[in-house]
Amino acid sequence: MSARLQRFAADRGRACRSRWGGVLALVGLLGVGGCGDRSRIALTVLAASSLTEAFGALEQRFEGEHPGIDVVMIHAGSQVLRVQLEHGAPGDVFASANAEHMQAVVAAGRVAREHPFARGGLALVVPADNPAGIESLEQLPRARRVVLGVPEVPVGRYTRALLQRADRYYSGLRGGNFRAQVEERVVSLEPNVRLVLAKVELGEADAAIVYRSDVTSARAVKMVPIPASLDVAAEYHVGLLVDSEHPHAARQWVELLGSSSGQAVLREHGFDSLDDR
Amino acid sequence: MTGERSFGGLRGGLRALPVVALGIGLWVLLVLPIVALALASSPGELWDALGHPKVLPALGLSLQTTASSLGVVLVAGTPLAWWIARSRGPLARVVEVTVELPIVIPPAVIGIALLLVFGRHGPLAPWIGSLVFTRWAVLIAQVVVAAPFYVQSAVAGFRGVDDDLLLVARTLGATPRQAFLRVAVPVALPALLGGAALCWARALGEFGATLLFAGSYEGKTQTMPLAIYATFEGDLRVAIAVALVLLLVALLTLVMARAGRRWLARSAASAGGGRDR
Repeated sequence: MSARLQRFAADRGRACRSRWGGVLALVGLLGVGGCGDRSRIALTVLAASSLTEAFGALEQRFEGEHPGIDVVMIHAGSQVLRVQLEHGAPGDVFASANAEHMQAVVAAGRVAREHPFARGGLALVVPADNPAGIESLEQLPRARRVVLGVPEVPVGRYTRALLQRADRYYSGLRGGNFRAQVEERVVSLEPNVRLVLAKVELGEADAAIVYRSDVTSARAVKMVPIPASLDVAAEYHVGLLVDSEHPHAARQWVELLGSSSGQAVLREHGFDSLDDR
Repeated sequence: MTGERSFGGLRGGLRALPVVALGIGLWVLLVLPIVALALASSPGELWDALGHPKVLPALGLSLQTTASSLGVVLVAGTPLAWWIARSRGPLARVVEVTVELPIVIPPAVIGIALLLVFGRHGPLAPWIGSLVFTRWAVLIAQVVVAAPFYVQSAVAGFRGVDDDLLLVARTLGATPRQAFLRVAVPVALPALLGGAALCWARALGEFGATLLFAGSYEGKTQTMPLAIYATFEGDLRVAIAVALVLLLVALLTLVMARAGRRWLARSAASAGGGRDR
């Protein structure tokens, strides 16, 4: 009886093992299957969300000129990329929407040299049907729901500088409390500029402040002009990561940014090139 | 003899080692991040985190909204689960499957979908306006992602209620409502409580749908997970401490829920034993 039981148990054991073996083999195959194309090198660019379309166009141009390089874009708020880089995220190039986050990455030792490559201005945007009837920056308190970027994201920081300037100007001119009125109407602080823009496109926010380069014909929003004297100059910085696996390709990308064709692409997408000011 | 009892003795134990190791490996993977979180902070920082301006409002908001969501799910979900469990028609099967859909849909997708339903251009907007950026949005997002967990568990629990028990209750003069409350619910109680705990935990951790649908504003819509994300962009150490606060609150509640379940089961058993005599 015990011998038969042992043989039965051994048979079951073998069946179980072959079943487990099959499962493990399948899992292994699935893992190996995702290996991808090894013939091209992957250049990883970590870039601010606001650079999405401009860098997309530059990516096409770059890959056309360098068929052996596949550019991989990682877009997020500059503050998110900064934290990731401070904690060792791998990459080749970092493009930030302000100097501060770039300097933090330099201080963390991930970037040695960096420089500005573009400038931008801010834009006050409202939904296409302009429900609050805002025709100028001064009328921003007419909005019932305002959406801004969080203080740490570059657009959020620039926005606060803009509101500070506008407050000094409007409150000085006509009294009242421009900035406090606007802040009363803020209903959400988003972690990147594209989420801010999305809320306006959906008509959920009556007004928001984004980059001028975000307002393209593809977006269902209307831009309200900001007086040039109050506008804040956003400065975009780029730096090579010191531990990049493809320093030569990374340098070529940075060169493209500074070249006349690269600057033309940036201008097409609503940015100001460095020599514009 | 002893060999048989221990399922093949030492050889059987060794043969099971790879499988056991996999299981332990999984457990380690689940526990390690929590340990790492605890080790990365200190009681001092934890105490400071409680004083951070974002934390108490977010904690209060999280506890309030999850309590309300749980209430809504229990009140509306229990009758639904009962009907699903006791019905035999095809409609009940369709409802059963569709109720579980939010579990497989990514929370960000649910957030976008909720924007379409309850937003400014949604079908209900002419009557209730836009719910985006309101506390209702936080509640709705939580209910949508967490309710399926409760309903699923409750259906399983109610299915386990023996028809004969209910019949006997009815013959003894109980109304359908009394039969439900005093026979079905106590029998299904472990499943109901387990489902409620899971539902509450899921609501507490809700992030993606809330961020997209309700936005993130301190004191109004910024729940603990959103607060963790917001502090993460500023100061990582603060974010870790805030995350630990949430972890401790969640752990405490689940431990209390388990203890409560065991107490209920024990008192039900003793009561049943008493009646037999």
